[in-house]
Amino acid sequence: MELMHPSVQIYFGIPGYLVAWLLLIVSTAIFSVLMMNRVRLLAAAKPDPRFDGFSSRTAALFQYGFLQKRQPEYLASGVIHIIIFWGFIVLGLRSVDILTQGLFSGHQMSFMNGTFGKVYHHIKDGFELITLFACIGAFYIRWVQAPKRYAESSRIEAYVVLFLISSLMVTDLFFEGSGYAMTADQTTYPVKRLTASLLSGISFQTLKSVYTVSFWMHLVAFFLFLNLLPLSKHFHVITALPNIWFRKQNPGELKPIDWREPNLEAHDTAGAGRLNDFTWKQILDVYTCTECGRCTDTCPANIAGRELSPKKLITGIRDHAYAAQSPFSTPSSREIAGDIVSDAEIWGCTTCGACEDQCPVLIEHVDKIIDLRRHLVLMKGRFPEEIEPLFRNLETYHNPWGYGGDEVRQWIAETKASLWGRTRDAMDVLYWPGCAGFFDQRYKNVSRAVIRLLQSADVRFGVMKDGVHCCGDFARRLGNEYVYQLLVRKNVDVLQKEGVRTIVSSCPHCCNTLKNEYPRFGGRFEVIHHTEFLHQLLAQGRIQPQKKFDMSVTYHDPCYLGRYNAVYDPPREILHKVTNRRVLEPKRSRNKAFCCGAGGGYMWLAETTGRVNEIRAKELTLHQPDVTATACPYCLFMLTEGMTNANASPASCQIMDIAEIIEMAM
Amino acid sequence: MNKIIWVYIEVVENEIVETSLEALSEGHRLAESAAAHLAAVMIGNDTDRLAETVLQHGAATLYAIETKSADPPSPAGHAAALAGLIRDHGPDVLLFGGTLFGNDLAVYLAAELQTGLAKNCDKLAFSEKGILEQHRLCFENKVHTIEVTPQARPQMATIEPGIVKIGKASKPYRPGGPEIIRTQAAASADVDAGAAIHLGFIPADPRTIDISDASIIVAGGNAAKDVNHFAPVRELADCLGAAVAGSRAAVDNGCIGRDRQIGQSGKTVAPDLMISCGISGAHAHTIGMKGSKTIIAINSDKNAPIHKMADLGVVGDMHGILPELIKRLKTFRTTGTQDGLSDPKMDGR
Amino acid sequence: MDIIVCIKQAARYNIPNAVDSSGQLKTEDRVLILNPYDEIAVEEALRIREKIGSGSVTLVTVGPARAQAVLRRGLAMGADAGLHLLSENGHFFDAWGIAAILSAAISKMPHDLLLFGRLAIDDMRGQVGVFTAGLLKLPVVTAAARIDIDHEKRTVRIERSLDRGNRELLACPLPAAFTVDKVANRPRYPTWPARKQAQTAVIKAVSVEALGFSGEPGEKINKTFISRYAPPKLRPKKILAPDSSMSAANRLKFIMSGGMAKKSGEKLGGSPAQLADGIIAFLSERKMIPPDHFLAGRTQK
Repeated sequence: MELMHPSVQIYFGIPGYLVAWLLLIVSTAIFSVLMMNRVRLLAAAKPDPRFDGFSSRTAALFQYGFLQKRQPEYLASGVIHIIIFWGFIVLGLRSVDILTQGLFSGHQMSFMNGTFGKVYHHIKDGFELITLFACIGAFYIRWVQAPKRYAESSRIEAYVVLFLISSLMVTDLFFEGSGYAMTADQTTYPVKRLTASLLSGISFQTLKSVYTVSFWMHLVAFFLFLNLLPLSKHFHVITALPNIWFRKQNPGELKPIDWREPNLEAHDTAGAGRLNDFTWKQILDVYTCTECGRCTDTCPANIAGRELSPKKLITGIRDHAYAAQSPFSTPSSREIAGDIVSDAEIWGCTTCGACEDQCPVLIEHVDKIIDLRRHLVLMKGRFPEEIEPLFRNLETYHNPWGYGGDEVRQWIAETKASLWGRTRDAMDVLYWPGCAGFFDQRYKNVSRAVIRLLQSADVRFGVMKDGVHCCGDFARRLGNEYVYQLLVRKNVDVLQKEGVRTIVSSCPHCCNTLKNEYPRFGGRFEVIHHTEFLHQLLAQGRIQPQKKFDMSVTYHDPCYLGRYNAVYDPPREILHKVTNRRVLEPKRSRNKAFCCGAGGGYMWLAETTGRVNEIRAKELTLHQPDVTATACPYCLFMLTEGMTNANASPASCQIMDIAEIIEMAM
Repeated sequence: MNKIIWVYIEVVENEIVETSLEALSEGHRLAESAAAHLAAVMIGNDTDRLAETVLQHGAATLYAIETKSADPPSPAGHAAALAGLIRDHGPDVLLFGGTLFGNDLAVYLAAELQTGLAKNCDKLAFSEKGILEQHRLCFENKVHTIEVTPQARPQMATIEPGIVKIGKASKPYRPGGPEIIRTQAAASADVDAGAAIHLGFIPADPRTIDISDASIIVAGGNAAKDVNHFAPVRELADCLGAAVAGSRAAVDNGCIGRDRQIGQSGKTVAPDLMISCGISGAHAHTIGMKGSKTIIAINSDKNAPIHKMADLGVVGDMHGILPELIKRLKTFRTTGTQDGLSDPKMDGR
Repeated sequence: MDIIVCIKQAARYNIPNAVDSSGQLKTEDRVLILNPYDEIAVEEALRIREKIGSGSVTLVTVGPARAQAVLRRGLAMGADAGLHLLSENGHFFDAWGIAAILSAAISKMPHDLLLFGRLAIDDMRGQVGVFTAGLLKLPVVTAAARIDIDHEKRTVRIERSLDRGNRELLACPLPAAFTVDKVANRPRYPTWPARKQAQTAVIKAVSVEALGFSGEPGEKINKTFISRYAPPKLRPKKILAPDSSMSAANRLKFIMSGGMAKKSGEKLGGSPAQLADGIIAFLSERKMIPPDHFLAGRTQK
């Protein structure tokens, strides 16, 4: 019996295909208008050069986009999403196929008729079922488990979307199933046979209705979903893959004031005050937020009870962007800092990068926060008063504590380190202790240890007595680009004049900025952290530890060494060499390490709520290690304080730098 | 012609301020070194009673200016009162004790007399040519300078408190013995039509002043773990007329606001008396209070770092000690001061 | 309301001794900054202008070419104009010299209010304000902690700092001069656009010579001169007065330890009651109870 395809049926005198065309035209029109608004904001935004590195971008797209590399961090949700993602891709073609049938009176695209079509249908059917189950799983997680990370998201929107996705599957299944049931055609496709048999007991008339209704419902669901995309968190369906492709290639570098012209002098304004101060990539980022909440889940500030929620920050800016766009308006003149995002949220960030590490669609949260800080500091002069002494000290004395040259000279005399360029022999390496290495009472022990180790290995190194100032990292992360660039210019001048090529530094913050950010200001150096360098020396046998300790050690990954610069193994390998026990990994380690709390200028910001360092201290000492090892002066300070405050057995657990541990073993 | 050295004697609540005696002693030493005539000038209500002390410390002449006014002294007023006298007698050197008032007065007077002034000198000496060499510290105590006022007269200097040893003179340098010259202050000498008029004093309320200004502080730390446990700290402060402060732990526990935090990320204080309750003495805190003159530390851990810097270390639990202390202080107040005189000002605190 | 703020570029050293072996002031480890008290005076002027709603804030400095930096710093805070009274580098002016130069320039400018910092952190004189006011025949109040101006009545209510947070209350007509104390306010942090604008702002410069003063050393407008510089000596700590009520043993202990320089205090142990007694004894011994017997000393600068 001939099946009348819904597109050739007549509805109130209108042939089906005309309805289909009407649906298509109207939906496309609406969709275009919505998309135009979204695109217009992108077009009006500031430039952002993201077109370099084609091959690495494509590789990233493959890894994070198609292979969904980050999804399985949360296993159940992750697997569900991977299924739905691939389901979308596979089933997209089917929806297009159904639409084609609707437009062209039941005719399909030619390639759907042959072998490809057959293979496709098998795959599609399987995916339909699996995806349907995935949707049910997703629904279950949202409804029953209701994890915290989904808070602050519209539940209704989530359920509607899940419903629409499920409808696409269900309507297709029923459309085909009812078709086969009516024609009593024995089909080779198992799933279709299954649905057909499910529907077999129903009367012919009902089957006909099911057949027609499913068809149209599928199209309606399709177009509804399409138009919902730019209005909801599901915009990521369109923007996620591009957003991944346009990722930042150099994670250690903060977005400069302006990508084309990084020098502050050339600009009258700085930072993000309003929506149109953002770059197009920053706007694309907020468009792409899926509201999965993994960023907030992993944010140390949020965990410690501060107001900051990376997800809320991103969706806040996004909602503001959406609200500001209507066909007739220009982007909003509302100030973002203080209005859309509170000051407390902006100052709550330690720039640890955990949010960016977790985000499945590679949103860059930190850059926005820093741009907001820049606006507050440079344009408004509004910032927590406890960091003003830091700014003044950096501007006047070029170090955070306001120390003078005497301290440096004393330290150099004590350590008997050679001065750079003052001896006859060529020097290979400049040792850059960092401000803490020069001035902090506790960390001076570490810089002294490093020097002794370098001396014992006969490394030709020197230290800079005059002219080298604070690297400026903290100033930049607190939004004070003015002070930062002051310091960078001075440092680059001196380092270039003195012919420095290679720098070994004890501070990961210094390492990061010298390596990743100074090049943009003309300073190109090979920069290596002291753990990496000491690791090399150990491997070359130039340092030969004599002892091996029977002590349990745990290692805390500094954010700026680990997450930002992927240096995880050298410190661990060093520890292996000096202890005969296994190195204990804290629960959150390597790229998932929990911040010590000092970054983002927090070293100088008073803690009001939530002690990030205490939380981390407790985590590190959970299994009562004898020693907690780290490789950063600020981690050292923060964890020591955290352990004391959290009463995490300070007497039994020592905190030491890797360099000190090696020295102990010599 | 012998040099003439004058010293201004500051009188507060009818008592001579110690720093003026230091200045007088320094004046006497200078006078002996140059065979100069030492005179003192004093403005007050009851100068007769105080005259003897002044003469005992070496002044050969005392100019006692009696004022009827019970008003507290204003620097501009005193400067006007003294200017005429000084112009008439033309001393070569004019010294003051470097108290707050003394320094203010000296500046006004130097302006009036159009002469040079060196403040907070720790040593004075006549050069070979007979000019006063004024030694003082400047550049935030990183430079020692020697200043001279070669021509303008008198050469004015204020003496840094606490440096000079006060010594009673063996004999005043004046043949015929000391003399006292009494004058009355000109009635409206200190009121100039366009000048600033003194309206009154606002005593510091230890409850509201900035803790960096406070002269007595009672600080609470981690041991006072919440607002209830912190209450005795506040009560003790009230008894003593002290300002309330604390360590960062106290701020985090919600006991005090950040403006009362002492330490690296808080304020630096230098009170005359610091009573520290339940504070361990971590470096980040002590860096903000190590300038305190006298420190009493109450901490049950005898190894707490704070005990190392305390003048009196009390090893015990603050929760037991503070109520006892408060009880005793309250009886102290109702029975009066140590020497039996009750002091009405105490009640204002 | 025309407000003039006199500011100075002060030198600050970060090392304990700023005098080299030949008796000269070191230039290494020296930073030149806007005198912190003057920065507070500028902030005060800006706040007064903001409160009144109109008026101008002009900054004046006396110094060599490098002193221009502090004028620009003040402009970056929001001042309207700067006037640089240019002197030769190395020429010395004492408080009278500066006062003469300032009053010569200011007498030619409209001025309702003159503000100065309480003292400069380098020379630590605290005299320029009073001397300049005297030459201009303006009433002057020093160490102003709070300035309330009644613009209509042309009068000012001033609270000035005494020691320990105590204050004196005064009233004064305009025009007047005040030196501003540290507690008066907390200066604003300049924004970037303001800094940038200040970098290129036009600053009027008048040489000291043009005002009729020669900058030669020994110039007659100075009254005080620096004879020489020397490295600082530690000042001995205060020793308690001979007739203090301390026991002889304790007094000897104090003198031998050089006063209060080293704290190796007594330790008390015992029951809470005993400890409280011990504290009371300690405080009585030092005449710290009752508190204001102790405050009457007034030995602050």
